[in-house]
Amino acid sequence: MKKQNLLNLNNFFYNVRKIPYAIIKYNDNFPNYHKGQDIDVFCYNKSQFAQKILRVGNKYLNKGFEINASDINTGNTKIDFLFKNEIYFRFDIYQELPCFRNIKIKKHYIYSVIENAVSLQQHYKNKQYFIYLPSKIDDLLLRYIEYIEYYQLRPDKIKHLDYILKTIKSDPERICFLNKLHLYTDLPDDFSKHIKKNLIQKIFYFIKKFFI
Amino acid sequence: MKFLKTSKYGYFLIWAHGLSYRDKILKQIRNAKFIDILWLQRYNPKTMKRFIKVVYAYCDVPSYHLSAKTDYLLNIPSETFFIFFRNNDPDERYFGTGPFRLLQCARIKKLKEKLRNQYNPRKNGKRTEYHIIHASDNEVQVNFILRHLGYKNGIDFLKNKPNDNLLLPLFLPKFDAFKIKRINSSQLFCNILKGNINSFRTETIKIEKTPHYAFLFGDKTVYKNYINKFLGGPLRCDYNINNFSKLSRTMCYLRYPYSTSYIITKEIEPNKYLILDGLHRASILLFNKINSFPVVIK
Repeated sequence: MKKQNLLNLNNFFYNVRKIPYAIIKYNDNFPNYHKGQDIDVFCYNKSQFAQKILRVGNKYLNKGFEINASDINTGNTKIDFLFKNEIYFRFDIYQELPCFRNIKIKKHYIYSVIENAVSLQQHYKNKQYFIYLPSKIDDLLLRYIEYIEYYQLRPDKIKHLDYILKTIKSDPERICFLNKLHLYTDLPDDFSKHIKKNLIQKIFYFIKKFFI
Repeated sequence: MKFLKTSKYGYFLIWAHGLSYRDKILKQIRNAKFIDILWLQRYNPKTMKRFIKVVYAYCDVPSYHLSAKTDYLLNIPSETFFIFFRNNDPDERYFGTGPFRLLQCARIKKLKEKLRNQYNPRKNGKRTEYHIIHASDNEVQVNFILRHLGYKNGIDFLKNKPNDNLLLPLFLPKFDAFKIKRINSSQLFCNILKGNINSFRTETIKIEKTPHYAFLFGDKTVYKNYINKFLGGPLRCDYNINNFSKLSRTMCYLRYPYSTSYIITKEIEPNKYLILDGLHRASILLFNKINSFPVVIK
């Protein structure tokens, strides 16, 4: 028999059904999850989202859970549900895009993800409601960003590129995600400095080689 | 269109000759539904002359009028009481003409006049112009006076939100992380003031020994004396018997819309927690024989 999760994700997401958000890296097993798993959420107002999570979370305090909240005023808010001093589930709530090192994404891309989110029907206590996920284009784009950003450190991220290639192969029109990628990406801030540095180094190299 | 409305911060200042009416004035201000009292402070200026200049520093009426209006204040004791508030429904209009034309909230002006009519000293049965109360006209004045009182951030102090996710009082410093845990009341302690308003110390005791807990068992004088003694001094939130009494009858801890209004504590020793905010609520829970409840640990 399948083991029941102690936290009912449907309970949490039913409570945020009226506010705009998008679940990033949606797991097909939703609302099931494994212990220690996290869920990333993009939203306009992270404190509004976090308050709804805490409101439902109060119920679980009676069942032996503790809640740890961190990075409330800065960055992305993390709300951890701990059971017997171990992280049982984490909500990672973003109001701004995280800073990427290998790719520069324009800040307002997060709003495009939320606005274009698609709905997926769920049920909680015999009531129908919707959760919101990034559109197919944004899903490919977010996977591509993750691949570019983390591939050097985590080669397993190649799975995202494989997924993108597989999707494009089966549905060639999806290649249009590249248009959106170009719209929302910028050159990194230090790009021109980098070019200048390389140019100066090359000039010095030729001077040394031919004149000294 | 409720959500399009804006709020404004302001203050009332009770001069020394009105301090005997302080509780009555506070009661009337509390009854004004558009006002939330945020902060109370006693202040004894070193010299009234300088203090009057500070209070009227950003007042836009001609100075000859101000000096005539404030002359009587030079002869009263140097004791004042500030009531800082948030006006949730400002109705700003121009009053007066020529150099006396001023932008003021009509509701605040009306309340101020009502209080002056009631409590200003009387001569031959008529109200004198020796005003017992002054009200700010704009937020610049509030900012200036708060800085004068020693609040470096000025008006931002009144807008302080220590944490975006919890309902918290403005006096707590900002914090970025917390834990929510169910704890037993036997692990909870609180700080209680001892001494007098000019020379006080805090003592860490169990909730059962506080004036707040005694109040719930019917001993109202202990709590009333405690509040009267320290209000505006070390106690600067709007504590009062009526609110506490109402809270004790109606409180449902962490029920909507107060789902994130947790009792705030900090761990002072392993498994020993000091209440930073929420002693009234903790006393009520204990009085209702609820011995284990969730708290935020900073």
